[in-house]
Amino acid sequence: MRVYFPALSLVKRELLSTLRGVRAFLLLVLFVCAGVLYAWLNWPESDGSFWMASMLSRFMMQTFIILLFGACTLFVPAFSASAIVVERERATYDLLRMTLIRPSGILFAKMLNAVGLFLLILVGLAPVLSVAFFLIGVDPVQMGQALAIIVATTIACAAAGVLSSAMFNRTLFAMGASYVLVIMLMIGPLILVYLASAIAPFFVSVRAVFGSVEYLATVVSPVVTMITLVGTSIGTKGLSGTQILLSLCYQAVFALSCLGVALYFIRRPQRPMKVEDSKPIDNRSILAQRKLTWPFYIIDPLRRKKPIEDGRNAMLVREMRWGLLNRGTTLIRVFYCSFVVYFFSGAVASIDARSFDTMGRWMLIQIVLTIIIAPALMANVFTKEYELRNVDMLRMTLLRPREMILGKLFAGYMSVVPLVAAAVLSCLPLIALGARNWTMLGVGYATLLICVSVSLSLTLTASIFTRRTAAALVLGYSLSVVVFIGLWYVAAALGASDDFAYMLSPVGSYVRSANLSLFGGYAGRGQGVRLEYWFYAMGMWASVAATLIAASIILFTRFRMTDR
Amino acid sequence: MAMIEAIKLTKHYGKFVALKDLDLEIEQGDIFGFIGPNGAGKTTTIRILATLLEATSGHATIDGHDVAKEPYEVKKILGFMPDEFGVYDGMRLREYLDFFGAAYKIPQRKRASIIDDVLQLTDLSSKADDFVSAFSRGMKQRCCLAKTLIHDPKVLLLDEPASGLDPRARIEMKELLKTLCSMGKTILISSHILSELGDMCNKIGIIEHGELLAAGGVGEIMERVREVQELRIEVFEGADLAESVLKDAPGISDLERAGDVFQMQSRLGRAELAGLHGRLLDRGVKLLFFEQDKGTLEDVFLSVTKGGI
Repeated sequence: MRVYFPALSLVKRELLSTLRGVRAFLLLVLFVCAGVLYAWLNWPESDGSFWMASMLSRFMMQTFIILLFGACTLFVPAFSASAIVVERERATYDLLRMTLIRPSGILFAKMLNAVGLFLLILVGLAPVLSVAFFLIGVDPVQMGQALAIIVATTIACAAAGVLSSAMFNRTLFAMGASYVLVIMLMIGPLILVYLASAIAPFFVSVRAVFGSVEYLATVVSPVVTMITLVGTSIGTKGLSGTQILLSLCYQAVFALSCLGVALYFIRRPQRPMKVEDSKPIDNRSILAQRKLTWPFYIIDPLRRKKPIEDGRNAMLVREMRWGLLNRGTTLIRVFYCSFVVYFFSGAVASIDARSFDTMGRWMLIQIVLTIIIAPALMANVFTKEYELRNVDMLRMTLLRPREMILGKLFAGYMSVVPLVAAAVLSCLPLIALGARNWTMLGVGYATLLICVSVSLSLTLTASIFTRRTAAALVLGYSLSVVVFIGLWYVAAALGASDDFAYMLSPVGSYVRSANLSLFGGYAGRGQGVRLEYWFYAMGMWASVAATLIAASIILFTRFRMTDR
Repeated sequence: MAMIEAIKLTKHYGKFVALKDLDLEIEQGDIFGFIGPNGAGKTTTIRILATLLEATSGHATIDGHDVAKEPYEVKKILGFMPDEFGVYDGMRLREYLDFFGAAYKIPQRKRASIIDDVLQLTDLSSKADDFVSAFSRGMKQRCCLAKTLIHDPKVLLLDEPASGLDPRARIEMKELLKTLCSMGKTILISSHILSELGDMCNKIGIIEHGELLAAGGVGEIMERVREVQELRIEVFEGADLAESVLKDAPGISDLERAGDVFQMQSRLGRAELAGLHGRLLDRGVKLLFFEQDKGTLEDVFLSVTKGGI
């Protein structure tokens, strides 16, 4: 068989290398254990009513589905983004291209590998998911539709990852591009739909426009599709078969387009790497002239850089001067993009600008968005040293482990600055609209910084204990999920008091101290911010972040300075 | 005291024994060639000496500092050039060396002149403002060597420094190492190119399957390993006298004569060989040529190692 279809040998190699490793087993065990734990925590008491059991089973299913959907959106792009680029980094890509495997075969094998692990997890979770059927209330058709959407999203995310992997020579860039594509899949057309809806009422009736917007949103955004589909019990109308079909078609078109472009990149002869041969410029007048071409030369890449000053952390200076600031232009672009995203979300939150909740909800959106993005900025800080094969040379220097860790960490903080700056500036329309709750704003920003610290510390730990960026990213996100949602949820399910349960998450602490209601309603309106509770909670989480950094230094010294 | 010393160094990777009771002693100023097939344990030994890998048992010292207990002290006097290394994107050569200089805590006022010196030593002065990521393989090797020399280490551990270099670059690298040796540095170098090591090193160690099979001076090992060597003598006057001396000499066999040229198998050590040379002169033989072929490092390597993985 393999004589006629040489790609099968690649499929076998890919699946073997992915699935026989301990990582795949651990991931499967982790997901199944988490599913079992969740079902066990939510299993109704024996004296519960029929109605309660029905509600519970539906809620269980919804949570399962949403968590699976979130996991596939977060993990599959990272995992698939390394598919082809890793061959380039290991210098095996040319060997692969020299075989009789066609580019389409390479694409097929990489794609299968990219979706294989997640689909295996999905299959592994099937018995846990089916537990919900023991309780009455779950609609099998609705569940089937939700699973179909998850599978389609997995394939679309994998296609986005494989495309990014085919386009770039470095894992980090491939991963960044992969997430950008996934964001485009999730909300790109949705933004266009909303923008169009803002203009359309001038021409057609408002009712017609909003009807179409709602309909279109469920088709062109898998997030909206999923929330509408599984959220019937929380007030949404559910979806028709046609909407599901159209949503699947949208994802299929996206996936096929990505695969088509990826095929073009695999077929195209590799271009030689661009050789940077520009010499540094010492002439001040030329530098001044170049500066006029703002914004690209805010930090001129050709200006001769100063030597590293005595007494400064060489690692931090390197990361800043030759890492972050070398990419000044990129940073500016990150700022612009973040500003657009934050501004858009801020505008959505500002619809009800005069209510007490508005500022809190708006800050919550900024916090959540930032902690979703932060791990992606930090995940490669150590893995890149392994990937670039610089780690031995670094360990041989006289830099102490704490200098290395703190240098990398502060550079990570600096890389988040454009995001925070964008968040700060995007609150202006809200303030202009009259939502001037300064306490909420201050508490919100302080929470944002503490959440970023916790998120970066977690990802730093993940980056220290893995050798590949994709693995660091997945581990970073997994730890973030546990810290930002997991502990909070488990404590609440075990019946802990609300104050205690919410305190087990930095975001939860903010929600609780600001008396925010997450899913509609205005439970805490007018009560003000519980500053004492907030101080305790944030003090605890700031300590957690500091402890994680200290632990990272100790563990790095113990396990990473010398291999075992 | 030996500059590099390893005593009963052992390293296990699970059940696989990468290094087994390795004893090594390298004096100051030696260029020690570490020879062995792929997977023999050369890189493992070098990485343990460089403090990058923990030995399962045994211990090693560099200039009296234990590599496991005093890694910081060891790093101050050690320059390590790994067999695989990368370079940072977006850094020019001078900036790259400046970073490593700062990482080795060299004061800023001294750094610029040190960088100039190592650039000159590695013949990279003209490339100081070029991006290191754009360098060819050979240039990257030199750049890495420059980085290794930046803190003026007493001891250099070079893992396959000449791999991937073109013939000219290899010759230059050989000359550079000789210069470094003349500066009093102790060098441990692993390589597959035995002919080059033979020219360059004054001591060698042959390792296979994690065991050090032979170690010592190059000539000494060759003599020890090759019991029978070829002796070639050419006489100007007194060929018959020379023939009679050689026939009676102990340790000489398979004597062949072609006019004034003699070729034979010899089992003589250095002292016995000198005795034979003296006897020939005493009997009035005028010698034009007297040489015992020591063989090459390749011959030694093949006779010591068994092959196989």
